[in-house]
Amino acid sequence: MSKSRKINVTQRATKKASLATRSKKAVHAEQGPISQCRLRIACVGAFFFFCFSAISYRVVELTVFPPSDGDKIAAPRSTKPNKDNEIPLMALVEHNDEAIRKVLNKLEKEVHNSDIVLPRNNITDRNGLVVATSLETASLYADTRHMKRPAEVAAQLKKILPQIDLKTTENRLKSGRSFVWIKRNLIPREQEKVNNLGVPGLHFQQEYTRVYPQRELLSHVLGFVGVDNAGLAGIEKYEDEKLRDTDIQRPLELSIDLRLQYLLHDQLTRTVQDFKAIGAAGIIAEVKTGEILAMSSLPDFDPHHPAKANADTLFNRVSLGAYEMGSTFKTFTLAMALEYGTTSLHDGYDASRPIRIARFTINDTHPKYRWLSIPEIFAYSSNIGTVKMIQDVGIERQKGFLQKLGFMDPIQVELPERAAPLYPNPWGQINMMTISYGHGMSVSPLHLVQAFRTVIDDGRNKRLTLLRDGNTKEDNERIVSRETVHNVQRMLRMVVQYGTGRQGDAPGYRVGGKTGTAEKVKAGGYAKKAMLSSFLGAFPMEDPQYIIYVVVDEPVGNKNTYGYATGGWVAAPTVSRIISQMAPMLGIAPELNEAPDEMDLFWAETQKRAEQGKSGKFHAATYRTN
Amino acid sequence: MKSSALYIVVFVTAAIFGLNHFKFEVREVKNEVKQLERELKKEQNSLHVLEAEWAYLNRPERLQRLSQKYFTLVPLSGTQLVTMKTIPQPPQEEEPKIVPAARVVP
Repeated sequence: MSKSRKINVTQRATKKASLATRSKKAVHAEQGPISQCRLRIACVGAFFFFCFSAISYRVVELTVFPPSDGDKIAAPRSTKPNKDNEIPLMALVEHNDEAIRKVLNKLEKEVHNSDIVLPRNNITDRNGLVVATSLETASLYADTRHMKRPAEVAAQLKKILPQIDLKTTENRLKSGRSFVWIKRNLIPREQEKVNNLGVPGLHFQQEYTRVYPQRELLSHVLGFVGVDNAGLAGIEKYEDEKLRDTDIQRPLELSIDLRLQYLLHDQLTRTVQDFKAIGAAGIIAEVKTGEILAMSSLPDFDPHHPAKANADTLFNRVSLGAYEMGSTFKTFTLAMALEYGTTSLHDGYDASRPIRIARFTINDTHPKYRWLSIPEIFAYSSNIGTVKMIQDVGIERQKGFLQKLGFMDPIQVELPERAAPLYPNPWGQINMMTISYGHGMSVSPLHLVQAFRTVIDDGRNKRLTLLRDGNTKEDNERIVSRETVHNVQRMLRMVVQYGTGRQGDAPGYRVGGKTGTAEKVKAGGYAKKAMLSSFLGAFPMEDPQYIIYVVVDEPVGNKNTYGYATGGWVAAPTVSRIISQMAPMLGIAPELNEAPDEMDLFWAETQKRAEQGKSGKFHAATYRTN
Repeated sequence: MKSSALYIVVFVTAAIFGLNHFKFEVREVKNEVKQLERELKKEQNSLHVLEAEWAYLNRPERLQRLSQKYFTLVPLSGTQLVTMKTIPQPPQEEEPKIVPAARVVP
């Protein structure tokens, strides 16, 4: 029994064992494909798990944690250049490397999709007031292919837009073309009315048009643009590239000060009206920098409708006009005589008799019939004295000096309308004499102001500019010495204190200047009564800050001036009014106590001696008190 | 069914839902941004037009005309301005010296 049990046990054990091995095998056989499958699923699942966990990590990172500086929304872009931001980067770049500057500009100003892109940059005055801008307007065109009742539509349009021509519009509407302009640049009110007509076939196209908020105030300086917004005259033309640069959307800053521009324009208009003149021109310039603060030429035009202007109104008398300046030129004769040392302030010349050369006579307008000291020659604007002065200087030195002052070259300014001066060739004795008192050579007012600036400021040349900070620091050669500058300043003050420029004085502002009354050259020689009356002034004369030049074309004397229409009666009072109004605006305090100096004593002494009938040069010791 | 397979399926479904949800949200935000940009552009345009309008209304000729109409102001003249030097100053008084009591010699 036990043997069979044993056998059974062992049989069972072996059966079990064989079963076990068989099931294990089976399991192994089973687990092979299943485990492979499981492994693959696990791998794919792990892969997806990894991807999704990466995305969720990123989501959590973006929403829960604050964004770093690189992703921050930048500060809003301002339309004015931020000078503080500009300088550090700009300092690394050369002034003439435009391409790099453009790139840096782009980086500095973060451009957004919300920024509007103007087709043309604004132009502002030196204080940021807008003087030229581009505004979007609707331009009316018609699709006339299916136009019903064109005549009626034309009549309706004529009622809303009175400027259009009825016949032309009717013909256009009848033409059957798919695109024909009716009127460009409508104002919103007109656009609304045309829209309300409800005529199918009339469409609008948004176009940018140039708008000048100041109207005619700066018409000659700015110029105007054509239909396609390209500059045709003035600064619009000269700086056309800069204005059309849409990469750098920054306003063009002029050196013009709008307040002074209006002041000048207003006073010139008043003077033209008072004296029934045919035109006038004026400049206000800053002495130290050569920046033009105001430039006006009358008559002027409406820059929105340049086609309606005539040649006279479009003509920029300041930059393009070439005139014989008359006595204002004596400033330069005096400057060269003092610079070359041919005379000094205590010298003088005999002005008792007119000078006769060839067939004409040189006279004084207000003759004194005696010896005149240099200050008197200048203050009384004596032609005889000036001619004697230039005879000591000589032709070559006169030519050289005027050349150095820029009188032989076309004027340099940011306008396409620039005058080239007219001077005689050959330049003989008679030319030398007439040019010394401003006849025989034609230059523009800008030439005059530029040269005047040189002889009253530092003696170094500087270009006049219409752009703010337009003059970079240039070390130009010295034309006149500081001593000459000081003497010329003193003489200019004396003209206003004692001489023909008395009406140009503004109390407390130490105005200095020179009057000019030039007979105009007309067909057949000089016209007797047609004059260019001018005053070239500056203040405060001991350290001039501003130059004001006013020239009036063909003024006629009135009751208030006792019939006189000379520079001292017409232009000088205008300059005086301008100075009294601009000085408080610019924060220049008046200095009412003007202590007399050696020149005043000299003047007083010469007058005293003239009264006593004594003439000729005298010793300084006779009048100097201490 | 193996529980791990179930977990995987659940997880994948949840992930799909979550992804779409975020995608939708992002699209919404993007639209919002575009809308804001459009409004900003409109405002910038208005600013530009208003700048021109401001310059026009503030032109000196108009200001002069209005000031003459509504005010009785006249141009400032130089004689109305003075500097500090011209104003008479009161004489500077010497402050009495304060001597400490201990230093006073009796």
